[in-house]
Amino acid sequence: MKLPPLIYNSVGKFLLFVLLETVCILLLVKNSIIQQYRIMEGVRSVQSFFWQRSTKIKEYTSLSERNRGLEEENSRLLRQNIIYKNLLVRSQEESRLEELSSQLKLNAGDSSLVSYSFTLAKVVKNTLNTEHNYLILDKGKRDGITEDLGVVTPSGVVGIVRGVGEKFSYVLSFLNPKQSISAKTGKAESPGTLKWEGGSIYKAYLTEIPLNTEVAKGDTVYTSGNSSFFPSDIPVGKAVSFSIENGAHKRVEVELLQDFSNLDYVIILRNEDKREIDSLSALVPPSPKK
Amino acid sequence: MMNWLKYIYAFVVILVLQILCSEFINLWPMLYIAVIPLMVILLPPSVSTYLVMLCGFIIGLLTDALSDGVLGLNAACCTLVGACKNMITKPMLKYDIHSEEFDMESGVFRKGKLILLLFLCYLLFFVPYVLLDGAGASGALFLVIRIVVNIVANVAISYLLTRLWIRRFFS
Repeated sequence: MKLPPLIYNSVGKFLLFVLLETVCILLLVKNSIIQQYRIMEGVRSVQSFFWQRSTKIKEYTSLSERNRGLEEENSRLLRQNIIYKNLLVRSQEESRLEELSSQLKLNAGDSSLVSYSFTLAKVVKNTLNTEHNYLILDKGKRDGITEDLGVVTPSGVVGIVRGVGEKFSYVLSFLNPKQSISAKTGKAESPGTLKWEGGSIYKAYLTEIPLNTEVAKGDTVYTSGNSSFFPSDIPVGKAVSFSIENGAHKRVEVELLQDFSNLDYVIILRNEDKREIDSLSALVPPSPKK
Repeated sequence: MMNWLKYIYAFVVILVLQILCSEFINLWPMLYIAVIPLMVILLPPSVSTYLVMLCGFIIGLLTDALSDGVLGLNAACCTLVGACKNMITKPMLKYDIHSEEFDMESGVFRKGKLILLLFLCYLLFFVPYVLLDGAGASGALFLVIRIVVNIVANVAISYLLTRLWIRRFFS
């Protein structure tokens, strides 16, 4: 493409002008110290201006590379963060388990818990408003949880594990008419059956207490330890009142110590002797049919 | 005498005059008598800007080399005057009815226009001259005063020189 003569002419004049002026400035710089100093000062400031700009341009053009680096750094930090969070959660769980198990041992006594191992679990879901309440805990097969393990807190019995997934487990709550545990009052040795019969989540009934057993208002109700799910002497509630049932047994109204509406962490109990107990129980012949 | 020979003669005279002024006439430290821009102004507008720039450069460089000045100072300023000279004179010629040629001896430029032309050319000459010569060592007020004094003095001297000698010489 041919440039218009006017532009061609103007560019030529400009280039000649720049050339001649450059020669003059070079002569000036070479022949006078003051001018040399001042002009070089100006040149240096111009240079530094362009250096700054070029550095900024370089920085701008290398942004994608820096972004990649930052992304890698970010993902590495996120991974670290997850690891530290898990460590923190584990440490919190351990301290919580320590706290709950020591409370439980204090309430139930060390001797009754000798053959039990503890696993702390967080309550993920807890139903209270249905007839058949249940809980979901955040521990499953990968945490060594199996079916038929007792779930307690230092304040009482929570339920029994009835289903286990990989990461979660299903617990049949004590607040379920199908669920009953063996319990006794503090002064008596003969146990009865403690069962929630619906209604208030703070009340349950201890039935089948022999008439000769002394029961007084304010007596503490404990687990009897007759089942392999729960150890003995875990306090469950307080006797509020009692009545005679069919003239043969006492029926005790029990105020539960465990507030089911405020459950966050629970202890899953594993009876290390349960397998042996179960195998021995299997040896007992079934009663003959009449 | 042919026109170009006259120009060469005028060129030599102005150069000698300039060297004499630089070496022997020292009225005031602030004042610098510069007659060399007149040589550039004198060139007709028909001469291309390339040639005017080169003439300015050569005459400036010769002045620097032959007088006791800083080499390159007069050359830089004269080159600038040469680069801008046609840009200044051509718009002025548009208002004249005669030819497109700049013709000093025919009196196309009247008194006022001549003074304006001299003023603009000396302004272009002295602004870079004073700045480069001072090299930022003087204050702004001093620089302004120096520029104004030099422009006024040199416009006056150049006007007189044009009226008394150059016009008669070319006519």
